[in-house]
Amino acid sequence: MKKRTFLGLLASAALFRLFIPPRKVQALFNHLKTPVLTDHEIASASIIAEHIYPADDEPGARSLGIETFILTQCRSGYFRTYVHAIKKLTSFLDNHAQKNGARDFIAMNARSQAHALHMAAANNTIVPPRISEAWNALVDMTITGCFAAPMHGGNRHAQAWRLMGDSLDKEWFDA
Amino acid sequence: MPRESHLFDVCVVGSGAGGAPAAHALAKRGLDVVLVDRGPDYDRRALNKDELSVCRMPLFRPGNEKGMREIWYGDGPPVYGDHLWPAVCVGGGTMIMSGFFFRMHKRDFRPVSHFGSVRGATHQDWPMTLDDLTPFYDEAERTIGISGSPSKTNVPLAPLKAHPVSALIDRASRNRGLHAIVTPRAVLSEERDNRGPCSYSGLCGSYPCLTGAKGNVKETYIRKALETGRLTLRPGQYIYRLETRGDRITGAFFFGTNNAAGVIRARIFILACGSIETARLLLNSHSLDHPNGLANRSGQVGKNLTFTIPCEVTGFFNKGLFPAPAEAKSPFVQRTIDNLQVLDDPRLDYQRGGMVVMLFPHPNPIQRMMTLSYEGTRRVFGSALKKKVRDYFSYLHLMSDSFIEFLPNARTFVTLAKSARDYWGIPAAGIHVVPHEENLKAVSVMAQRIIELYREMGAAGIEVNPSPFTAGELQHGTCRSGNDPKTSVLDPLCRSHEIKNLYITDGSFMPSGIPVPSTFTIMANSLRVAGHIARNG
Repeated sequence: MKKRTFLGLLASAALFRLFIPPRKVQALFNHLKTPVLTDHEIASASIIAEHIYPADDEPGARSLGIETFILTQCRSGYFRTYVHAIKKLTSFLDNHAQKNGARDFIAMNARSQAHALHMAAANNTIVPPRISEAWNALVDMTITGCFAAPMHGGNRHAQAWRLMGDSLDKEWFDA
Repeated sequence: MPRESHLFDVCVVGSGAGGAPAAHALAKRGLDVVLVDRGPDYDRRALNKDELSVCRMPLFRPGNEKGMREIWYGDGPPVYGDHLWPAVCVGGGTMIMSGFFFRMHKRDFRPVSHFGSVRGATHQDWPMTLDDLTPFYDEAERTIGISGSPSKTNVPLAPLKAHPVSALIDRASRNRGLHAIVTPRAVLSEERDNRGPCSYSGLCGSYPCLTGAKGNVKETYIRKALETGRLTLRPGQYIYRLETRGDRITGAFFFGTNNAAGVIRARIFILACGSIETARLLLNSHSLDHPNGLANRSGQVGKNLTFTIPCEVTGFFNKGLFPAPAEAKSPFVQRTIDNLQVLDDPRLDYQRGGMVVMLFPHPNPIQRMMTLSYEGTRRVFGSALKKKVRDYFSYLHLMSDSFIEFLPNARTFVTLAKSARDYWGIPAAGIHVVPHEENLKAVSVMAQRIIELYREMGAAGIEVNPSPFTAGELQHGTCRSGNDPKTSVLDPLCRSHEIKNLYITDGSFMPSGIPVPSTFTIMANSLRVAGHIARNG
């Protein structure tokens, strides 16, 4: 590189630094980098959530509205930073499904899905730490989605709180 | 950077329990005071009891980027993020405190003289006595309003209503040689001073109060200080560096909202950012004149950090033995075991325990589910999780929360983080926490006494939380006070030995841990120091 070009670049960088605060530049890049969940990822996350908090006599994650929770919270709510975790985990599970002859995680039967999730949940050397972290993030998100106040999109009609019996007074949360 | 020409009499950094009482006391005496806080100023009418926004997410926390810390628990790897913060907002931790307001005992000021020194512990006798603080305890109590206070000086405020389990605790305590007292609470049992009485919502600790009953400093000291017309309140300004000339601070540099920056000028500076942040600010304010950080000629800034050692024991009781908290008129147990502050156990070299407050576990559903979803480091999920939840909630639960005196030691301190900076690029606090061995022994002795109490009450099961690590709401030390400038940062009136116009009024001044929650003592000391400043300038 010629000396003049180099000095020119240096001067441009200095001017750029002078007039645009670095935080704003970073914020711009962060905005551009913020990923969005695809329909496939949302559907996968919703199935994973149902495995984490399944239906029995009481409703499970899906009928409590976990999909709405994930959609709203990952778009503009408290869980925006969890988007990466969902992407990592669903991609890992899809790869695992393909290795086992299925199209993707969603296409696997419930038993195989559960098996794959137990593998992701296992804190061992087979699963990379980033997948364990992503799994923990999904568990946190599912629990939060199911047990937060209904206004956040999950816990439809506050049905999840019924599991806690008389330890909760719903009026407290409406105060 | 805009230069501020206005010169305040006093700049108070931090608007929590340590800052607000001093700001009010000085504004009341006609001084021109600016009270700065890095957090927002919440109007109680805009707050709610939603667990997700209040407890789990950063309404009262700075967020990982802005509140970045590097924390070393024991010998484990460092943890990064916004941990060990009390609330970050105007009013500080008092906004979401439970409000257990106990006074210190005379002997608590003389831990070494009374209980002896211990190998590996750096605790010291205080350079003040209970008599020095008593008038200010009284003054703080009048302003805050303490229900069920044992004080004989002030007009008593009736205790809060107690849950029926309190009678069971009283009886079992007597049988086991324990002494249960009514828990004094900084929560109004009746209307006073334009603040409503407690609504007994059950969502008290960790939540903001919507009626104004909780004696947070925003509802009391800050409101009254603003009424004097002498206080300028500046929320959303983060002081990151203090500028000095010789032995005086001349300005405090801040970042404001939208990355604005500026400097505040004042004759006197009072730091009350919490023990960790106060130490960090002093260390980050190093200069050619003060190469080891401000006010740190002794090398003691950041040292002797203390919290309280928790000792959580949960009793599982069959349903029917007492009503569920949600079904009773009051969700407050309102009982404290107060005769475990001094222990008499041959296993201990240091016979020090702490107050044991009895309470029902917080009803937060998300928090409870999170706790139940862990088995060690593994997560329970699926039908196993649901079964665990059902089993857990088939019992009633009673909890004890202990405040054991934390022994300061060489392995628990604050420094600047090696590899973490905050959002603005300022070095984060590096926090090292290793409880003293005597504290761990005290935890097991205390737990045993509580287990005996629960058995006497007829518990069907008992669970001890073995973690000795604090959540960090109560922080002390890091700028200990003393008479000798070589071994202490502050003089007995909490003025820096080195910087003539610097005072510190949060828990940093404490030369030892204390066996009761410290908020009340911090407020009283803040008033004591403010009185001195007003008299002497």
